[in-house]
Formats: sequence, structure tokens, C-alpha cells
Amino acid sequence: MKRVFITGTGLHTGFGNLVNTWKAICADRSALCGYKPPGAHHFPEILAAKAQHIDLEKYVPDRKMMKYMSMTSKLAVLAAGRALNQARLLENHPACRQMAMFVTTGMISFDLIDVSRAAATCKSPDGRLDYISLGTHGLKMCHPLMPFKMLHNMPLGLISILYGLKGENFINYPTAEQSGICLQTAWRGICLERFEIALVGGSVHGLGLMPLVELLRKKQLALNNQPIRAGWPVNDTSAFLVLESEESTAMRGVQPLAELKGAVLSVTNDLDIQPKLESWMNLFASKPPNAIVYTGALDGCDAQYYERAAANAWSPTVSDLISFDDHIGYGQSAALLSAVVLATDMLTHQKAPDWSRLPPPSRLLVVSKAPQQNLVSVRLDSVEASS
Amino acid sequence: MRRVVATGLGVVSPIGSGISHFFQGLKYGRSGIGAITRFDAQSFTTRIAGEVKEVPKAPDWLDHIDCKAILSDPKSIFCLTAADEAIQDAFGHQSPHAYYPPQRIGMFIGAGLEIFHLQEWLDFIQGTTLDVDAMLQSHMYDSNQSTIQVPSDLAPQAIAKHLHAGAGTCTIVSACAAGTQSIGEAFLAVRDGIIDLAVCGGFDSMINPLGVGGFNLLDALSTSNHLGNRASRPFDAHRDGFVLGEGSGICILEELHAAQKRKARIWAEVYGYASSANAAHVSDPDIQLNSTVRVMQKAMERSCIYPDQIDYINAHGTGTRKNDPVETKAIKSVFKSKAADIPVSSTKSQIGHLIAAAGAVEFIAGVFAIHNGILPATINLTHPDPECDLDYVPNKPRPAKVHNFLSNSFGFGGQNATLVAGMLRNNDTGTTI
Repeated sequence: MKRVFITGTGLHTGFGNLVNTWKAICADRSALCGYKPPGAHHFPEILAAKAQHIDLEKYVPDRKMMKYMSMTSKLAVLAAGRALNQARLLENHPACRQMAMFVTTGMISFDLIDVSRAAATCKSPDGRLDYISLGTHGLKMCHPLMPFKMLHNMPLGLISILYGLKGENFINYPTAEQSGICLQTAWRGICLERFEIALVGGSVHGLGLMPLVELLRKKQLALNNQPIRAGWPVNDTSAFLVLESEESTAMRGVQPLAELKGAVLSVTNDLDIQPKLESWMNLFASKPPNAIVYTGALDGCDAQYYERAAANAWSPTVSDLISFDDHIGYGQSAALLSAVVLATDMLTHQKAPDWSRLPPPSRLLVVSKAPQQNLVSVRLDSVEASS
Repeated sequence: MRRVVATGLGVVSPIGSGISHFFQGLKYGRSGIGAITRFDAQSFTTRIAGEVKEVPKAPDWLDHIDCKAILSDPKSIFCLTAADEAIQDAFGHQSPHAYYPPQRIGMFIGAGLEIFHLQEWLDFIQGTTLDVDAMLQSHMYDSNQSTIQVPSDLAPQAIAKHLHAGAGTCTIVSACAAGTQSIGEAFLAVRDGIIDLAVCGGFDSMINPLGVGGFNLLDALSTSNHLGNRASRPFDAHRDGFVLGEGSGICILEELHAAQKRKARIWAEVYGYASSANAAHVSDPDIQLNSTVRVMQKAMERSCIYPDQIDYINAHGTGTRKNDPVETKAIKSVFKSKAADIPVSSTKSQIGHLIAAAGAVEFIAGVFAIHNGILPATINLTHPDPECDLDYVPNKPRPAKVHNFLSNSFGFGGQNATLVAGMLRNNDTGTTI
């Protein structure tokens, strides 16, 4: 089995890129604030982090292409470009031709302006949709490139086109569990020598109106000024990683940032921690991680749960717990990988935010635990620890 | 290396729902294309599609799962029905849990776009703008209220709950390549020992105003409405675009020895799978051929199959002006002088383009070929195109011994996927049993 290193990371959050995000996290600042969708006066004020400073000029030279990019695609292209840049794989690097890519995308944010305008012209006097009017002139009011904004696979397609990636691929949808499958598939593909390098990422426009409505119906949105958080503080986010075999890393002469030791999915059931313990023990054997980086807890703090689980798994050493959800928010399809990117940064620089009181980490467990999703557990080691 | 076999199949398609009806449709070269009845399409540029004639009743077990939004999305019902058939086909009246623990059961399902209910939306249009407040007041807190936008993964999640599948549900949304990728990724997961049992395939329907209208905006659909059931014409000189279809194809994949131990019927062995990306254009096929050629070559290489061992190719064959000659050239480039001798057909000529379900249903058409000794036809091929000069099994199904087949899917957005499968192989001699 080959070893798998992380050689590039890319992130875009409410703070901007990884450097700015990390600075803000270290200063214990939060990108979350009260938010209402435009025109939605009756929508409760939720806690959310909107993406800022989406500057794609460096990565998308063709301005026409921008017109058929949804927000999810834009965020994906931006973070993927940063990850590839850090791994020195931009500028049509020959390795891109074989590079695999596995991406998770969020719910579609329908182009409300286009659709509303088209639908408005097709309302019959009794309020029913007049299909004849829709076909005759309604759809002609839509921008001809509108369908491209609504296709789930466009983030992957555009990344492939813009960066020349031609290898194995799939794009799945729409949760953190799905990006766990992407990470696991890429890790396994490198370990078993199906490919040498893979780009893995997740992107979400969590502040789109319909995705917000869906989460509100499920009572999974965090409200602003709630005394105890009881939902996710959603965000617009994307996070990407370049995974690479040890041999490829050495051959290209790039510095690995951390080692990905494995990713495991296990059945989640809040009453039964056994499957989690088994997966964690499989990942870490007897030597526990320095800390658990977790994401996806609706109440913002699953500390008791993880303390109990960790104490059972590695008694008497109780791992420390850290989450960045209160700083950058929770973006379902990008949440797990955002946590992995930030954990990688902690390992690369051998430091944790002062407020966390964690010692310099060398082995981290990243966990995504969200309601009605399987648990995803990821083990990351610093390069020093792994060598 | 673990070997992977298909032990259960389920289909909902425009030429028949249920494996036996679908196989009958292929055997007699029937067309499932006709006038759109799902909505009043008389003013649309395209007014034909391959509709499932009767939307099946949702399985009874859905009553026990709290997910009523599924009922507002016909394509989800197709998926549940096909999955139900595939599970029964593989396990009869037994539960899969009699053989596999939940944590060894995984799901890989290709799904289409979220359904967007325009009528629901329209109720909140004031003038030309959306009254967001009114819409939210009506929909926000009432979980029984019908949804405007139905997520695409409800059906896979419902099946996972029903089966207690605990090894993850991967909902692949790679457009036209999704069905093939789902079976391919499931194959890899079983072969690599990540899971022991996979429920895999795809489901889709874009026969709705936004689906048909959206593809019309892109000039991708056939507008030969007057031709009715003859409008889907892959590889024909007069082809003018694809015809939308709908349905679902679901397969049960297992590790060979476990399947043999429980005396399961083996429909086919999956030998190999590959995927690639064009990195060229969002909607056009791979004119340079590199990615389409590589995906076929790699799938065969990983299957330990030589090009001259392929007896049949189920082509992507959409019927668009651009796709068919490019796929023809790619096949010629891969199979060289042998290409002219390999029968190639497009199931889309009979059922239309099932988008996220296409690859899965077409894989099952390949299984039909090896089990029935009949090559599915490319119907409506009456005017040969000089640029498309292979043996497309024109118009009538043809008897043939098929040991191994290859199935292509080339997606809108540039994702390609190829599966290679066939009869169960004798591992010692490499020949099929």
C-alpha cells in the first residue's frame, strides 16, 4: 500500500483564503453574523457566513465562462486553483492529465431572477401555470446559458476544463458524508496504485434561498441570538486538497504538508458509540491523536459526546477537542474538507490557535458528525510524525 | 483480487418496467418514444420523449419511512421500484441481512437534477418577482407542505434506510455518466473489500417543463416531433439531437464467492471500469478523442480483456450531430481494424436518453445481450452517415454469441465512463463459463 500525502490545500470562507481564515481563527474572530435572504422579511435571522472577495480573474481568463458559473462553481474553481497552485500543479502541468478528481457539490441554487421572470409571463388568470405560454415565450426570457448554472456536475467539469485535469473522476451530492466518500475513494485509489495524484474537494452555496428553506424545514439552521445554538451556522465555502503518493511527491520535489493515513465511514447512531470507537481504533491503533477536530454538531459543541467516546477509545488519555464551525460556519458538502484543510495547516505549522490551549499537534482525528449522516473519521499525521 | 458479479437487476423504462418487459422490448426492437404527456408541451420546440407509460406505485415499505416529498417526484418512484425489483431478484423473499451485515452494504446511485415544481413557485409570483415572504410563510415550517425544490438524493436515502445500508450512500451527479460511474464505483468498492454488497445504478427524468425547455435552450434535443417513435436516430445521417427518456436501472453487485456460496443467480461478471474527463468544453464531445479513447482502453486493460475479445459495444450514441461521429472515431481508434467487426448499438434509439439513469439501463441492455444471445438494435437507422460507418445493428435485433461487452457513457460536462462486463469467467483459463 502506498502512502498518501497532502501536497496542496485551497480554501475559501467568509474570511477569504486559507491565510486570512487561519489568521482570523487564531484571533478567535468569527465570520458568522445575522443574515436574512434578500426580500425575506419573515425569514428568521439566521447565523451565517457569506463568502467575500471571490476574485476569479487569476483562474478564469474567459469572461464568458464566468456567465455560466453558479456560485458553487465559482467557489470550487477558486479553492481548487489555490490547492493546485500550492502543489505546483498549475500551468498545464503534465501530471494533470492523469490526475483524479472527486468533488462534492451542494443543492442547486436556481437562478431565481430568470425563473421568476419566465414563470411570471406564464400565469393564467386562474393562477395556474400556462404551459403554452411557457414554451412560446417564457423560456425564451431565460438566459441561454442558464442551464449550465443548474447542472450539478459543472463544478467538476469547469475545474477539469480550466486546469486540464483528465483523470478518474466523479461528483457527488450534497453532504459532508459524501465528501468523506470522495476522500476515501481518492486515498484508496492512490494506496492501490490506480492513480498517483488526486484532487478532492467540496463546494457549497449554502446561502442560496432554496437550500436555506430546506434546512429550515428540517430545523437544522442556527438562528442569530439564540442562547444555545440548535442548528448549523451555514456558509458559502469551498475546500480542496491535493493528495499524492509518496513516490510522486518525491519525484516532483514538492514538500508534503501532512500525511493522510485513512478515512473511514461508519454507521452513526447517537445512542451507540461502538462503531465510532471501532473506526477510530482502526485508524489510530493504540496511540491516540493529539486532538479531535470536529464539525457538524448542531449545538456547536459535542464536547461531552466526544470526550466520552475518546475516553472509551483511548483511556486514560483524553484527547482535546476543537471545532472551527463557530468561526467559519458549516457548509454541508464542504464542511468535512474545510476541517481537513485547517487541520492540515495545524500540522504543517505545528501549532494550534492559542485559545484552544492545544499543544503543537502531530496526529489529528478529523470527524464529521451530522444528523442522519454516517460518521466520517479522517486521520492526519504531520510529516515529522509520519517519518 | 476479489471478483464482482451482478446478482440482481431492476428496470423501469419507456419500453417496459421490470426486467422481463424490458428484455422483451429489446428483443423486439420496440420504441418507447412518443408525444409528451407529462405536461402540455404543445408550444415547446420539442414535444416528444420516452416516457414511462405508467408511473409505478411506490413500494409499501415507503410508508415506514418519513419522506413524503418523494411522492412528488416520479423519478424517485422509478428508483424505488427498480431497487425493489433488483433486491428481490437477488434475494427473493429473504432479506439481504441474512447474508450481509448492514455495515457491509453500500449504495452508489446516479441521480439527476432536483425537481423544481414551477406551479408551486408560481403561486408566489407577484408581478414579475417572487414574493419571498409569502413563499416562506407557506413552506418554511410545514414539513407536510409539498416542496418547491425536491432534493435529488431522497430515493437513495430512502432505500438505504429500508435496507439499513450502513456503509454509506454515494449519490453521484455526473449527468449522463452518472449511471455508469455509480456501477463502476460500486464495483471498485466491492472488489477492494470496502463493502460486500452494493446497490447501484441510476434514475432520472427530465421530462418536465424546465428539463425540456432547458435542453431546448441549448439546442440539444431532437425537434423531429412529426417522426414520433422514429425520432431518436443515433448514427443516422438525418439525426438532429437526442430525445429525452426517463426511468431507472438498478443492479446488485456482490463478491463472487459469497454469491456462489448462497447459490445466487449470476447475471454477469463486472470485469473492469474506468472514467476520464475531457478538459475541453462544457457541452461538446471530446473532438481530440484522447479522453474517450483512454477511458475505453483503460477499462479493458483493467479487465484483462484485449480489444479483440469484445463482442459487443453498447454505445453512448445520443443522436446528436456531434456525439455520434466522435464516438465512432474513438471506437475505431481503440479497436483499429477490428472495429468494423464489432457490433455497436445505441439503446437510446429505443428508450431515449435517460441522462443519470442512461448508463445503468444500458449496462443492463448489455447483460440482456449475453443472456439472450441477442444484440439490441439501433432502431430508426435508415440513412447511413458516411461519418458513422460501423456495424450499428441497424433496425432489428440480431442473434449473436456475446461473451464480453463494453458500455460507454460520455457526459455533458465532459465526464466519460466505461464498464467492461460479461459472462462469468473461468479464472484459470480466462475464458467465459
